[in-house]
Amino acid sequence: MKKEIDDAVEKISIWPFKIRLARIKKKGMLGVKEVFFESQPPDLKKLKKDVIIFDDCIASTVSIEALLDLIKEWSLAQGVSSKELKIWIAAAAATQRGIERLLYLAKEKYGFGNMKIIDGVLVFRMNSDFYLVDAENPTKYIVGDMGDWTEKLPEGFNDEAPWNKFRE
Amino acid sequence: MELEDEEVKEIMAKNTELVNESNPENVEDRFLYQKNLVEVYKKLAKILINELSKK
Repeated sequence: MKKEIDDAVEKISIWPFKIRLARIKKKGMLGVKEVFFESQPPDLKKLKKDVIIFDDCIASTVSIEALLDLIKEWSLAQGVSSKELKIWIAAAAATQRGIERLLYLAKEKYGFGNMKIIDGVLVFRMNSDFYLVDAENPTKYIVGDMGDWTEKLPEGFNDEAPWNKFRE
Repeated sequence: MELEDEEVKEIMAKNTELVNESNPENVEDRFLYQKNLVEVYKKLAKILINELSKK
């Protein structure tokens, strides 16, 4: 696995970024109020036009749409046609509705050349707070609040959880 | 849409169990949740690498 990753990394450019979104919920609707982008935009030409996004969860899609809006803006600013961009999204969990919406927007709104979504588990229902729930038993959560569950662990876990060292 | 990966489904089912029976303030369970998620990301990365190598 390590060799496969090393070989793949040779072929792509990795660009870690930091983004925070201020979301707003009003009258049962969810939206993004503000986007705080805390990194330099990537050079899309250097990314060889394959943009790979790892996301924990695609639920309402408002967060990932905010990121796709930014990618579209950068492509315009950098003179890269959005048709040349291939967007890859990998998510641990996603709703069918979210996937279908993103695939629709990829073509109709953003004009990306292609979009592929690789999803860990497909979910068919959200509750009124936009949490993923079991379609037949809506009191049962599928992934819970991923923000809370992925919160940094105490430092005593660093040896067992090496990813914890890089968390803020 | 393609068929879901059975191994990924099984790992995600463990997290479903955790979120319904525990809470994120329980650090041991939070660690398990994150460990499972890392396994899922590794598997997704492998699928992604395979797809990219087809190019």
